[in-house]
Amino acid sequence: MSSPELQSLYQDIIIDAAKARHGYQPGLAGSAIGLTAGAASSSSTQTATVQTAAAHTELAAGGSATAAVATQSTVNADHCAASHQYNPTCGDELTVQVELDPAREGIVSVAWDGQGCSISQASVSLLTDLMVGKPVAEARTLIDEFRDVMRSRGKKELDIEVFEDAAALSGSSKFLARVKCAMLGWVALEDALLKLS
Amino acid sequence: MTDAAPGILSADEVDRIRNDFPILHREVNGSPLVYLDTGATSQSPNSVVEAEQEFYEQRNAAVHRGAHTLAAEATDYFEQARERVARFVGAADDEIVWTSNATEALNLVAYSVGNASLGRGGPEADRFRIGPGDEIVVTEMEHHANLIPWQELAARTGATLKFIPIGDDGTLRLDVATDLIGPATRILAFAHVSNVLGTINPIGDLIRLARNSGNPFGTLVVLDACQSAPHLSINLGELDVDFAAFSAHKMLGPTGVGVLYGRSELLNAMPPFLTGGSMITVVTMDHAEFLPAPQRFEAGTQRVSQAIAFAAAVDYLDHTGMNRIHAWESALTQRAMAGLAEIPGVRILGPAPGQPRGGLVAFDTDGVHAHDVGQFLDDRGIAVRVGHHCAQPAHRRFGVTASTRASFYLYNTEAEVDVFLQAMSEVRSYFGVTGAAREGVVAR
Repeated sequence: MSSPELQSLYQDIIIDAAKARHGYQPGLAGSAIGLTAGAASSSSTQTATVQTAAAHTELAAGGSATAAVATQSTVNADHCAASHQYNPTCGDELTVQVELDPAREGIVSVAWDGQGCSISQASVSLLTDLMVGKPVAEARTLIDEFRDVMRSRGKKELDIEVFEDAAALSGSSKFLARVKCAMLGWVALEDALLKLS
Repeated sequence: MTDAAPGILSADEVDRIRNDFPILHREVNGSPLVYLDTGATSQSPNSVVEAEQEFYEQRNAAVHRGAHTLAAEATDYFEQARERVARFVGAADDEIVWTSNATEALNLVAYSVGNASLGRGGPEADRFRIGPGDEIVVTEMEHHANLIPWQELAARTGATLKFIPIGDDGTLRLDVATDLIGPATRILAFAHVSNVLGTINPIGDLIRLARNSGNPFGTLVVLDACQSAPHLSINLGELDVDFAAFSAHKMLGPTGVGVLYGRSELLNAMPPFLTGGSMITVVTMDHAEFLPAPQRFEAGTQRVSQAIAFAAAVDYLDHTGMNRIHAWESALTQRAMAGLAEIPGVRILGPAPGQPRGGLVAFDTDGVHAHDVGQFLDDRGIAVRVGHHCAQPAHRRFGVTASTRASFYLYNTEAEVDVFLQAMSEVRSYFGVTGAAREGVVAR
């Protein structure tokens, strides 16, 4: 009894990615500042600042399947940056951390921590899959294209040849209230890359 | 209502009521709209929409100025609206200040107290002055609108903000409140009914603590009545609160108008918040004298058509009967809670079934984010609120960042509750949280 629109939003690939959480690194940069963590007094702005600063020094302390490249000894603030993004309407939050190669031309690893709805979680998981190994310039183009499709109110689709599994997120663009959920991780990566440019 | 009217709405009566609300007959995503988001904003009957339209078609003019006929008629209707809303909540006419919404009403009090603390308002405003060593007490279940203005006031004045915690059962810890409210307490601000937990707070007990605080100036009691004025028969004069705030759009009225209730004696002693036209007597280049309340708090052009439509809304509620409305929504809420309790993985926030509760229920769905729950329900035309409902601390208290909330009103039916419960029973399997297969999913 679910509509085709709802099925296009919640494709299997989305539900699966939201559970698989590729790149998920709990405790990344000490990011347990969520609403559930009892940090009653800090505003999101303050939190974001702390998060970002901490991310530089605690980069990849945990390591994971997709982000096991950097270690404490190889941490280099010139090549690594993180961005904390917060969706005030629902309280979803996300820290995405990116590490570039020494020439700062290619993405070596992406790791993230945060919590949110299935769309935001699936989106950042698929983003991680897509971006690791990509040249920075191409990553920026992909983020721009992704934003363009997300803002199209369902008029444009992500090219599966380019976006691979992340193309399944096209369905989100028909749901105005969910575009921000889908964008959260991409905005975080964009911001982190900006810090390294 | 006549004495013969039963104590609760009948199903037939609700059907007739629904005919007064055109929006309830539209479809959403191919299904009839099931509107369970009155806690955020209510729908309006024809009489409210027509009142606003009639004003613009027949007597639109600025109020309290001008000598022409339309200006006089507009002023007359505007002030009649104030009388009708005042009567509805058991207040005197001059105790009702129009604001843009309840948030502005609460900020008005906080900023006026702040102005008094800076020495504005002369000796009669001394009773409002606060500073270091003084305490403002709120509760852990406040809507941000009744929390942040007090945080800011404390920051501006050096006063200390304290809060009454929520117990595990979703009610306030009165034992803590008893310890907390004392000679240092200058302001006690709390919600009558929690917009997340549905808890109906023990207003009599809290006011008694405030009245016996021992503070030489007396403790000001500020009531957030946003979730009570639309749903319960309340008499603010008898309740003995000092200030109260509520909003038209949660009680069948339009957006853009709310009310600050204040005891006349207090309003007339308090310095203004917004200043400008219409709130003064004599103005020189370096000084102004202010009108008595309520005008001293109504600077600038007023929301005239909205106030008039608001009066039509309270007339509609009054005619239907507040106690009967509350009985009906309580029955719907208990039906929803009983159904939700049967669904695995659903955890209701707030008081247990059978305990006193406003006409709303918020809940966590294990393994499915509230946004996804809301999306699934919307696909079937069911409108609920998802997120933190502007009450992050209350959510944090129960270990969640977001919840789903269904809220009920006089126009909701038992059949709608059942449609909602049927959808809720399918949510977790749709998102693959239980072992059951998701139906009808596009394969790629």
